[in-house]
Amino acid sequence: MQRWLGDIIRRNEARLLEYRRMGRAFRRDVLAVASLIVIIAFALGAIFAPWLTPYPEQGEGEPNLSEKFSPPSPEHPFGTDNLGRDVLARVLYGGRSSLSIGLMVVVIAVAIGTPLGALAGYFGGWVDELIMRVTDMFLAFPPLLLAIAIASALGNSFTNAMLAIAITWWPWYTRLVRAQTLSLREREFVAAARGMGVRTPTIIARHILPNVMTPVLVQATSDIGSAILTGAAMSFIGLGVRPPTADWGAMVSTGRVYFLGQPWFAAFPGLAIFLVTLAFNLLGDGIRDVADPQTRRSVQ
Amino acid sequence: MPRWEYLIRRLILSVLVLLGVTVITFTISRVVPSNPAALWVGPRPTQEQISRAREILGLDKPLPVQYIRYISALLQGDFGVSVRTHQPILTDLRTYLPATLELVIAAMLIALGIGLPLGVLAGAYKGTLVDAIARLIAVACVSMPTFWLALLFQLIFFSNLHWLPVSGRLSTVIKLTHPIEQVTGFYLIDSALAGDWELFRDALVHLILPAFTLSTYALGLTIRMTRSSMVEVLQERYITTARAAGLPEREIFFKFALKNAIVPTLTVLGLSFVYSLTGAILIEVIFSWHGLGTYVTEAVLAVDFPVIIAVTIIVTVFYVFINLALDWFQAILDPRVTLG
Amino acid sequence: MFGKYGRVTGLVAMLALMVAASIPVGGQAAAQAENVFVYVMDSTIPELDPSIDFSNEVVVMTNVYEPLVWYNPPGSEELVSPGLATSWDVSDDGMTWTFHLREGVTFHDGTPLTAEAVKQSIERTIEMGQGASFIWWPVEEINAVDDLTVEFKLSYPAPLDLIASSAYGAWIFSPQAAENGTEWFNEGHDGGTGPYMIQSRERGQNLVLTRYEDYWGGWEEGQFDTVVFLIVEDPLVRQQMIEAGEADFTLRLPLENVETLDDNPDVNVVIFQSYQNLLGFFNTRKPPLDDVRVRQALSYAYPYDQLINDVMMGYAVQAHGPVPTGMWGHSDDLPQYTYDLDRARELLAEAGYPDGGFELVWTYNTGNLDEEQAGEIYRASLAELGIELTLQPMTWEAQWDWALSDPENAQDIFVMYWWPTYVTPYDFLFNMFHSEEEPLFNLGYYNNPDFDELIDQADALTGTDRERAEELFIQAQEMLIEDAPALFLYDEMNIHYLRSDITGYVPNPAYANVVFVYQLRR
Repeated sequence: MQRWLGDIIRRNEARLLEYRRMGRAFRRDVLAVASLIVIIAFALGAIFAPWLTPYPEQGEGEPNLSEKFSPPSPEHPFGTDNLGRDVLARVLYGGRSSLSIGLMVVVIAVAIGTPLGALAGYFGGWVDELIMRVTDMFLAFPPLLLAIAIASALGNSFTNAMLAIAITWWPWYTRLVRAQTLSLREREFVAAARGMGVRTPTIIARHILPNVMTPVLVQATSDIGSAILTGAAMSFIGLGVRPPTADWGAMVSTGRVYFLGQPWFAAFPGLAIFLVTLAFNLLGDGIRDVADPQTRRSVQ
Repeated sequence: MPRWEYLIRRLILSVLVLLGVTVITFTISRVVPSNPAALWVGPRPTQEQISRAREILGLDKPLPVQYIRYISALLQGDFGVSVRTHQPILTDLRTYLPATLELVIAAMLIALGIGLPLGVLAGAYKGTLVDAIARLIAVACVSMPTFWLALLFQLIFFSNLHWLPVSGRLSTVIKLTHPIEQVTGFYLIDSALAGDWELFRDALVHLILPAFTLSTYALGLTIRMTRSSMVEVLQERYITTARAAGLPEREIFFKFALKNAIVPTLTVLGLSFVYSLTGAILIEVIFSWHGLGTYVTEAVLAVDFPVIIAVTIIVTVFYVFINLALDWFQAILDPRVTLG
Repeated sequence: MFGKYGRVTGLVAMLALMVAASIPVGGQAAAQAENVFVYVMDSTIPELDPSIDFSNEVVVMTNVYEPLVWYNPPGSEELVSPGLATSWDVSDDGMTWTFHLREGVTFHDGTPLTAEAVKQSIERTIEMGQGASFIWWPVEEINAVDDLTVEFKLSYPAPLDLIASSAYGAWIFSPQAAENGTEWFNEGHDGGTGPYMIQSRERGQNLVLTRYEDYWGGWEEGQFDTVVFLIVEDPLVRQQMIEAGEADFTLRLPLENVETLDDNPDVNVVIFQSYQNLLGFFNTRKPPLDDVRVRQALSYAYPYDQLINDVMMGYAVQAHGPVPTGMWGHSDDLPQYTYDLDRARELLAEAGYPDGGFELVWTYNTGNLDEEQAGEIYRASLAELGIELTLQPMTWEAQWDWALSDPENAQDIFVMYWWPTYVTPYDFLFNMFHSEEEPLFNLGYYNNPDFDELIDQADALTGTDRERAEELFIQAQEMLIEDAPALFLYDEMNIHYLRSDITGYVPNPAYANVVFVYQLRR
């Protein structure tokens, strides 16, 4: 990602200015900045979890039965769970699987969807027809059902849950990129490159893909939120990480049983899912506002 | 492209998509490690019972033969039998599908009823506090883990306030004392048709929590879509002209702006409808709402694939045809849209 | 926190408006007024054909049908007592059994109970070959000697009195009714002799029973007219229903809430030993678990006290071998493995694994919290021995399929519950540990000819010399415990919740979670 950004910057000074301008616009958007801070806070919390909690071994899953279901207190601000583990530690560790599932699903979906969309849009004809019909088929699938079916087929694990969601996700990017490519294909600089005899893969890589990346990034940012939500829903049903790995959806699922008596167990991981998803959605909106000239005009 | 030709093309493609979906689900169903023959027999099968069940279920035949058998039965409207309960799936669907549809439609109506006015207000008063609040509600709604919201609702409205029932479609006593004649399978409609208002009220009260929970996602989308199309429409030249001509604001909003803003809103609502058919899975389980969601969850946990495939196909059919209808509808209402 | 969050969404206010008049939740007092007993269960009732039913339908069937013989609740003098048969005798070789039927019994369709009806009932069950029909395997021939006498000729000696008391596959029903076929039963009909008849059924939702006025036992003032079975999957909801009086009976609530419910004067909590236990099969065909010393070491490494006291909250007892506490054939004198990591280290060292250094996979049923927590505490304990335990949740189907496919590559520890079809130690010992050519339920693939011979011999004696049979069964379990083909985790307790105004409930673990509503009064 970084190399790619650097490449763009070196190659296109004008674009650099544009990004700077977008950056300034973004900083004026209070909600988006706040969201970014929330996301960074959760990410740092997940990464540095072992140093942030006094109970790292509980975060990793070691039971501590003598303190089973302690209500929130100064020692355990979020209380403890059914095996006596500190819920705050579990929420911090749970961020590892929940955030990475969101991120990875989107990365995989973009990696599959973008090239397919570019191919379909650029070549048109039967290539387009074939790719788009397969896309239609995957779009027509009830997403959660397909993910559940795939996860139960592949067996229960973090990777499989992630793959299962990603498989239901990529078609959206194919559609988006295809539409963008269709219009780019007719633009002068692409026609010029074609005229100069530049090879097709080079055109797609150098001219098409960089130019579709902005809408893709905007979409991807909001999607991370939805992917986290879907991942949580899968773990809620019981398809996701293997215990004792902490996971927000799985914690709500287990905590649900105890919700009347010990509401803290399900409440805090649920709140974490909500906050992170909210933050990604707001961030996505913020980026869209500064990146999309049309809405920007309407905002001004 | 002429409209009828477009329609036929889309129909053919839809059938292909549906066929593809059956192939994929069928393949998945045979790859999954499971033992349908044993499931068919029950909790403590003997070896003889298992091998006999394999023959009954046709599992001893090669995969393509099994698929052709399945698809030809399906074309005659036969979804097969649940491996777990031996009950014809079609019979099950007759009770479960209306239950889910009642829930989902109620949720869509809530989303429309709250989302449309909120979106219009937000769009009309862009940049004000109202707009900010509406946008925050919208984004909160789409970010909400519904299974968690369902728990909160139960805690608040049942446990703490004792206002609403916690689960089911009817309370026990009502269910026993008010036999319901199944006409549509929608309890609200059936009870209203029968003029049984006690039953109607009971069904309505049971519907509120699950429907509100399920509506959140659609509500968020509706507010958002209505707001942005309002913003867009209000910038159009004819609105500016109307304003300049001194037409009252109210008339501008409702006569021109809303009329044009409603098309994209309905599109979003249509898609949320399909999304909610599966989104209802978690909510139905939490509220013990016996619909497609609980049906398919039980099937997933028991690896009862005929049921999983049947529900998948049903939802896919809804997706394909609602999409088709939406495109069509859009083209009729909005002459700027071209088909093709 | 909740209130603030509610304001954010704005839904609270909206809902408040809609229900401003505070619509009553309904249910409450009405159930009492109608003389209805409401049993709220946690999963669906799949099958109503009395020849096929083999799971939690038993809670319905026991109120609708009767067997020849009932198995008694624990603490009774005899194991069994008369049902539709008032007396019975067995030949000395245990090969011929004669049952004398009760007079004046009619089926719900009005036809009388006869020896011929008994013969046809059981023959139908055997011919259909489904569900628990295998309990009748020893039966070679059934004869209706006269109107009220049935004779069973067996092909090998078997305890037919116990078999006839089975919770599954032993119902006597009207042959006329049975001619309507399985689908007719499943539409919500029955052909039993019991105190209640099936009135209606909505699949997956509820089932209603109504009184059979001509029941041979007669009716007294105060007995229930109607029994409703409601299916509510969510334990929280079930708890709320019993607290609110919408349910008269329910089960499987979070163990953490038992005490709270016990403090509730409206709810009566009944706790008793069940005949269900939890085991973890060791894969005896796959290294390193093929070495008995490793299996013993792993048995010493289990923190049983934590499991019983902290996970199960004391509502279970540590198992003594595979036959559950309170059942005949169980002995508290059998040895138990205790949590002893030093002993485990010694045994591992003897077997050549002084620092552990291997990985094991523990498979259990997705969503089963008890099995999951049992794994989590084991994982922490094994980590101290240098053994890594992976917890793999799977659907029952997938878990079982893996175990049956290829023992050498199957999971290392297979966790599951067992309960008896009819109450005999042989059910536990044969199904789970008797050698099998093709694995079915012996999921640790244990193979010991001496053990096989011992339990087969005990089973043959069960009908004629129950004391001797019991000795042999206990001896066989000693052998098992020494060989450690499985972790014997706990014998579960049942916890049943009744409204406290209900009297007359006697729990009977032979019929899992059954309430004989005929015996109750409010």
